[in-house]
Amino acid sequence: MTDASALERAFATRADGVPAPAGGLVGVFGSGVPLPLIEATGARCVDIKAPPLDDAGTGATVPAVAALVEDFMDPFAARFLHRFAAGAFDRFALLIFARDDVAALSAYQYAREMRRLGHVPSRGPALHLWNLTHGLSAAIARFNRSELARLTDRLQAVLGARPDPDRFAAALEADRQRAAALAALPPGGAESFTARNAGRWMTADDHCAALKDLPVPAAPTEGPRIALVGTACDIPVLHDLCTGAGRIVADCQEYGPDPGSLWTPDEITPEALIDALAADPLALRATPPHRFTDALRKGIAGADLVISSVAPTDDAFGWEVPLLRRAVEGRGGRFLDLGFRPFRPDAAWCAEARQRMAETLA
Amino acid sequence: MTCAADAAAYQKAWVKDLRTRIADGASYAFVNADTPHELFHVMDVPIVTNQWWSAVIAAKQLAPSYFDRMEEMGFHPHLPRYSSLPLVAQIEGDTDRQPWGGLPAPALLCARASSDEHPRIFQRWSELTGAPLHLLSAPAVPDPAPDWWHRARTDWEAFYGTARLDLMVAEMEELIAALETLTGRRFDAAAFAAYMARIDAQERLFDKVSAMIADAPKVPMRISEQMPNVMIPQWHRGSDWAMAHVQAFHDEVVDRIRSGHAVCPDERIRMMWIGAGLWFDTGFYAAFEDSHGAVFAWSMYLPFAADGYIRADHGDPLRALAARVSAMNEQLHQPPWVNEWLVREARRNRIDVAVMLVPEHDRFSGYGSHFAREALTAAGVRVVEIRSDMVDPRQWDRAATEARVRAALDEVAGRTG
Repeated sequence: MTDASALERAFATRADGVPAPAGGLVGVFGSGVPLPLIEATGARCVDIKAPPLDDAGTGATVPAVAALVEDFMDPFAARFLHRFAAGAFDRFALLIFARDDVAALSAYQYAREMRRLGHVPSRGPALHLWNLTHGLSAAIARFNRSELARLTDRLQAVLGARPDPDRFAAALEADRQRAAALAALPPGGAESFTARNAGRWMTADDHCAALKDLPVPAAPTEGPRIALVGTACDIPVLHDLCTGAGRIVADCQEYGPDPGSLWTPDEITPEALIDALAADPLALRATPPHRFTDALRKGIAGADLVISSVAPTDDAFGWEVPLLRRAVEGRGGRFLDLGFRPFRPDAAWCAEARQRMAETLA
Repeated sequence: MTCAADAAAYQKAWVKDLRTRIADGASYAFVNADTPHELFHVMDVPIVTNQWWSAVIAAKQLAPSYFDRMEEMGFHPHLPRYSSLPLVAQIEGDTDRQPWGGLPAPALLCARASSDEHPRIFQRWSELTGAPLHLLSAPAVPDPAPDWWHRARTDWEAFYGTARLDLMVAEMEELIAALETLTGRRFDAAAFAAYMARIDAQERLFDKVSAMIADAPKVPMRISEQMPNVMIPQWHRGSDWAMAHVQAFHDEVVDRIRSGHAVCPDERIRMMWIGAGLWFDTGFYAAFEDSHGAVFAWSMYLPFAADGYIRADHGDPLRALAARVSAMNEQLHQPPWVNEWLVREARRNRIDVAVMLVPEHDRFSGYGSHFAREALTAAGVRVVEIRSDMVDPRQWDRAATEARVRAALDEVAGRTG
């Protein structure tokens, strides 16, 4: 298997393609979870928020879930719940849900309640809510310390191991090497997006190895500089759309940035790791909330064109859009609001988006 | 004059006075409903509550034009509405058509991050008015026991979690410091404790009224009357007026039950209204009395005044307040809390039919609806689900909704008759 196909396969099969190691498989729904700390128990972490690519066509629909999930639920949560009920995560030891993720709290509460009511079998992974609060205050830091202790206790209870300092250091070192390899990728382009995100379902070593021998993906070096903003997008559809229109210089949506980019791996303690995660200003629930607005504007600085698109279930990002437009246009840039982006956009949506992009850049 | 009319008259006078005070330059705070109003009251800082103000705008039938304008401004049409209507009115800026001639800039903003939109909406308020924002964190309860209405009254430390309560207390202490700076007054812990005890007494009286209405042979008071009798004293909780009013409300209900008064003498079907009030069309609640002998016996406001507010102080009233606030809204919307509570309330009130408002664009309020529907159905309650909104009537079709409810009532009447 070539390195590119290993990345593509991991990206396509996602959690379904990951074997369970002896130390246990831990599923993670949402950002802000201390992955190196969990891996320091000997477990392996994989993203469970984004379903496999073929889920759109062949994914299970479980009647008991369909009866309980409202049609306005975030599609990541809805698909997770069907997959959960169909047994897709039965080989996992533990599933961790990040409270500050826009979809994870509902996914956690519904999964837990479906299990309590007997709508899904009680077998399968333990469920854990990771309550990390994004903020900088001393009170929040104290609270997050208690969450760290609660997580550590849960890891011990479920996996039979606490984070080991040597393994923690090794996980951070692997992440450092992964970050260096990712830095060689261009910020835009479907190939780069796929290669970057494949790491969510690969070990850091395997990801690094695949990235190291990967020819640098082709990406435009000329044309208008484009920034992407909006709600989570786990497929490279927007990167594809921008092909030929310009070069993507920033993807500020979830699944855009490198997930390990928040911390500096050298000499970091578990507590410092938690603080670094809590300080992420691009978390939508960051406190005080102006930090998110500021970080978003910083993220798109220098872009000639900013493209915004949101899930039809968006509650929160949409409150940023008019001011963001004003800020971009105020400095002479262009702003394209694509509006609602379907979970898996069809050809018609893409054609219209491409057309609107061309009109905006004309 | 009935109690409900008294409450409405009081609120009207209070609003007029507040408006005068604000117009004269008094500092006020603009706050969300699930924040610790008690701190503002005890520091004598007037508050305007976001959701109440939203209902006022909706009742004046202004919401459609504001929501149309909201989309013209570039906000997408699926954003939540109940909490955003005042913001849209404020941004739009045409104060002449707003209630009171619009709100001046508040001195302080306060919200809780119970749902994702609240930080964003209040951030926009802060940018618009220059007022500082106090945002209270809202980590979730990881292992929510279903019977929250029992456990949260006294065993709240274990129920809500020590770390969560520590965080809420710390953030409330920061808010108190801001209120001290704003007013130039010191927070009086003894006065606060006495004030919290008064609120506890008020909510215990509501608890009693709630049980009386549930036990009465026939519904003695429409929910459209119950709502002002509960919510207006709740906005003023612990005040002399609120205490006296709740006692009068209690006495009126006692008298009505004793004299055999019934909203619908031919009562045959008992209904519950699930969700926030239908603020632009409260007349809907009486629409089925003549045709089907069907009466809305229950809305959340009265029982929640007891179950959501009574928190034993255990010698630490600030911590008890943290317990009251730290999952206030969540208890009404998140499984297992919402489904278990609604079934308990349906049984207690002998409910036959539940009409459930599902606001698909206020998703935080809409989540848990299907769990509730399934649980109520399993408990023998016929559920009619209505897709609409508390303040936005643009998708409200009164005739079609009445027809759906009537069909359900016919079915239930056939089953029981």
